[in-house]
Amino acid sequence: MHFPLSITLLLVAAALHALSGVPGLLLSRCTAAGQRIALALTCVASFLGLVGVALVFMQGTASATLPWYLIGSEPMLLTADGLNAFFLVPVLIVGALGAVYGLGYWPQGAHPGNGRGLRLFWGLVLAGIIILLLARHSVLFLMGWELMALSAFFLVCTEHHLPEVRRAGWVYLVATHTGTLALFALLALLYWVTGSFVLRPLAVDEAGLGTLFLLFVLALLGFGMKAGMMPLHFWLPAAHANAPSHVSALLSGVMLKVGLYGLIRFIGFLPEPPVSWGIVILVAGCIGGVLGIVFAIGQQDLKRLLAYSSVENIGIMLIGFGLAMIGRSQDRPVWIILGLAGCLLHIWNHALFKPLLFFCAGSVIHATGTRQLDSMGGVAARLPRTAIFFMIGAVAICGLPPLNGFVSELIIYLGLFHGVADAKASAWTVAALAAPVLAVIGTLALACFVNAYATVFLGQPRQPQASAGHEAAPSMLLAMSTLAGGCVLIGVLPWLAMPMINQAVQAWDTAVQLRPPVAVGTLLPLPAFMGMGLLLAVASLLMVSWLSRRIKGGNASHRITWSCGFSLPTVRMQYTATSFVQMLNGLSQGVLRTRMHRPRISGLFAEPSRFKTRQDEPVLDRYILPAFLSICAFFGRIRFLQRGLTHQYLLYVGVTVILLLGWTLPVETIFKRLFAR
Amino acid sequence: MTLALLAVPLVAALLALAIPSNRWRPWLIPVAAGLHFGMTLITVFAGQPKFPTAWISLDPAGQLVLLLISTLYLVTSFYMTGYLRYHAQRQNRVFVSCLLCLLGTMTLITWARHLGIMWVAIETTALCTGPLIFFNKTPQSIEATWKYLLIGFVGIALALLGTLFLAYSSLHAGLEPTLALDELLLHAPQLSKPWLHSAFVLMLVGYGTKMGLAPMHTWKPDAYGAAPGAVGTLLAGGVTSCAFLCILRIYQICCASGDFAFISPMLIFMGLLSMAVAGVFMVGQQDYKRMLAYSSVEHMGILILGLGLGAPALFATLLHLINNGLTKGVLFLSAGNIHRSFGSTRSTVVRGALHRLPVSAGLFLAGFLAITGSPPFGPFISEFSILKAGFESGHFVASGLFLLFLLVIFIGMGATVLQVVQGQEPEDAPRTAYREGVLTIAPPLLLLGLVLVMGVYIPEPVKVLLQNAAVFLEVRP
Repeated sequence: MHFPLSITLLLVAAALHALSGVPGLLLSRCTAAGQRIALALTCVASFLGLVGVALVFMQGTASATLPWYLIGSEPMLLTADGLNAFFLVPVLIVGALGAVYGLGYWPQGAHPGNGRGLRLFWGLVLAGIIILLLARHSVLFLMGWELMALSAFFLVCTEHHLPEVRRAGWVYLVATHTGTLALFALLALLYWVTGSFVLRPLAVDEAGLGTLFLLFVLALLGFGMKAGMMPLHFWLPAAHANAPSHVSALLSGVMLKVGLYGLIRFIGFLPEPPVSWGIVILVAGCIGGVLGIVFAIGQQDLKRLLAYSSVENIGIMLIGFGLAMIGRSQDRPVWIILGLAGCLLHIWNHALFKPLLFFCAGSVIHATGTRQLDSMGGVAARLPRTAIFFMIGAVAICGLPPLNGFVSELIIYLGLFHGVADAKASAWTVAALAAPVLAVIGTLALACFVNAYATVFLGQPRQPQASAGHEAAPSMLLAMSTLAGGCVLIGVLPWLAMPMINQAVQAWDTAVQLRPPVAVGTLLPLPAFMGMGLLLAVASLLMVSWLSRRIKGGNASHRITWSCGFSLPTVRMQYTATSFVQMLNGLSQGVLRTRMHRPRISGLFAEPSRFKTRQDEPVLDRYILPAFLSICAFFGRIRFLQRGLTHQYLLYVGVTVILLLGWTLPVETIFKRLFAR
Repeated sequence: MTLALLAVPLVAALLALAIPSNRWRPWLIPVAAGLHFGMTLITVFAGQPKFPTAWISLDPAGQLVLLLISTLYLVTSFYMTGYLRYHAQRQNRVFVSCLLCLLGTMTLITWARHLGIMWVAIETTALCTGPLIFFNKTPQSIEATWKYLLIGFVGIALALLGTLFLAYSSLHAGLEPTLALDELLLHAPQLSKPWLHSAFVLMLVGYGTKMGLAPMHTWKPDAYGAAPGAVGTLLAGGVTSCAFLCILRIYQICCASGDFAFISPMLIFMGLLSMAVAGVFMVGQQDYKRMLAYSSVEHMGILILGLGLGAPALFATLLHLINNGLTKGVLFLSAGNIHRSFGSTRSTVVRGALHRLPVSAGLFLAGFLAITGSPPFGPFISEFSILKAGFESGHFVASGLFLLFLLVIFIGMGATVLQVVQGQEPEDAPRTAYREGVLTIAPPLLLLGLVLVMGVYIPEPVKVLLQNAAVFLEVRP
């Protein structure tokens, strides 16, 4: 049996990741040795995996069959092509960096009870993802998928002694299991169509339109749930907020993308998609993008804010993917290339800046001991490096030049402009509507992150306990600086990523439409990107140095930020995050519907009173939970059938016998005879 | 060998009555179970003569069930010694003796190729298990035993009526009346249809009562809730499998007579009904042992559904029989440990078990994930294959309902399990003298290992056995 080197390396990487937490289990819970061993194994595994990925990009698609027969007669097929290699890169990088970050953030000495379990499941998540990305066999795919999903559940539940963590974990578990069952149906249906467990593109007349539609819906449900596609994102904010920060980084930076991989790969299998599918995805992306960022603005919890911003970014990716799907239906290769390239590059970018932001959030939370924005403030004075890294991440996520978010969003814009320009295609209106939506998303994201940065890092600490704290540990800073470097690198030198994107786009199963292959780079003004980026970078550096010289010049006076004209206010009088975005929140109350606890104030000398606002999760708290409760109540009502009365039970046996015997009666013949008479 | 296989448990049962020491008597169970297991391995795998007589012989389906029972019994027997040592002050003479008798009668069911003998053996299991459920001698266990015996006997009486109907159907067709399976299979196409159909219904309901299909499952929550964990394992993994084997016999006869199309919708209906009932009663269930009983109802439903889907699902159904038996072992044994440590089965009292009993609670959690069909455990393979077979045989609605019920059951079961396992122990949580020990930890751990093996790589001999059994059952008229 022939095993290509690239696949061997990736399998070794998966095995090492899976085993990385095991030595720690055998060691005492008080020593830090297990954590170091796990870190070393994770880094080695990721390095080997990246070498394997590089081989795939250099040598092209590689396949291998494992001599492993579980059910059916086909062996387990593994394939590494441009597309899954592209997705493997962030998995391996964020996986290793998260472990590095964990060394300072979640040291074994400080977390003897759950540190070992966390590292075990960390490795298992990564192993599961590598397996499912490579798998071209339904059963292997499902195994990798569940390994990832269940290990992620245990990661979310790391601190399960806290009730809200348990609740978040439970919602996640139900959501992921629903998705998994949809995938069961999807893969069983694919088996029914193809007669084999091997996952491959369907031929044009292999399945009817109804079946294809069912496959599409199941893929949207199963993968969309994992990807956090609106409105299936309901599990995501709580899970990301309640997990340890590096776990949130892994979930958001890597696991959501795996859902997108499934969507891209499996929808790619379906031949001749109707144009409505692309429109559905694009519209879902637009809605998710706008609502995601609107909800993010409304949050008072730093990590929930970042989680909703992930929903927004998934929306942007879906806009790109939807454009590619429309291009596929209407035979427009340029749309396919630009849409998919923008989507894919944004996946990489989001896997760089979102973990970066979560890492920064982690060190801020570590330092201040709170996640509430309205309690923080002035962190930049004590965590200057973290502040710089958060700034880089925030600029990148808002899609501002010269960082990477700008490049990927610009590619999607270009794709949409191509769509608008091509008025012969029937779907051009959709593209024309999507471009301004993308602009709105970008604007709102800017507001959101200006708010987040200002409230957390600038001003004065709003709570006394938030004024303690210290800069993050060196290992945490190392992880952050690597990610920040990645953001700058892709932003300034975007063509470094283009060969990989080209291969990934070509590997998407649209072989016919992309012949002859068109390189993404030829469609983009890449030198202009770089020139503009450098120009902006130089300009901003000049401005910073000018400003700092002016401040140091001595004219600047030291006052509490935003003191509204008071000379000696208390820190509580600063603008809070809620007040900063009050106007935006007011505009979006139609969907946001903040719960306000506003006591009535009466009398000249009113009693002390408190004003509180609470932001719920719109889908979960307004629709899903009430529905569940009413179903539970209904089940409770029919439970009277079993009350411990033995004679009732015997009656059931009797009734069953009679009914089933009735079933055996040849009713039709009896009727015929009756009426024949 | 046949005789020895049947005789060892029965002789041991007599010995148990004779041994005076309450402390040493339980060790008789592992000894007998070990001997039984060894002989089972030889009989099943080493090509011993498998068809000694027409009435008592071991066909492939019987081999499969025998292997399952013997494995489960052996693993449970060690747990049982640990359990009885913990309850050393209780008189266990009758308990041990009945437990050994149960092994003998279950073995007889797997060997019986005569419906009369099979019926007698099933009846005897009911008699043997009564005292087992009653072991704790609490008011609940008396009530549970009473319900179990009463409903069980009604079911068995119906099965007897069905058996007689079957005999009559051959008489009606002008044949020599017989209950020997071989002859019935041979003459199946000539059997009188109405009598055969009625016999099928009566036997499905009768043996279904024993198996715990809804709505004849009503004894199950009480019995499983009151019985010791190890007995629960043998009931949920062993006795139900034997009752399923009985249903397989009548299924085979109906298939041989060309009536599969007639019984298929009935089986699918009964299977889905069991899953639905299990789902409804599992949501909000606060007693984790009763919850396991409903899980057993669910899996019996899956087995019957699998039978109803016909030939494409047979392999998967038989695989699920094995997986369910082994996983139920993990669940019941670990739940037994948690029960013993907290002295309660209410999830409102028992919380944070992962903290107090890391291994048992971990096993309970893993068992829950396994039984709900998560890879890489065995039930995933079998449930996914049954779903696949559902699509293959064109039962789209049934497959959709199957998935829906699996989701409802996952939610119902998960809520209770996580409540028990996760979180912080309440300050006032009761605490007994029980501590995790090798005898009560190793057996469920071993079973979980087996479940994992079944999910990752089905051993070749077992696979061959399953294939043989599927081919054997797949009779065409």
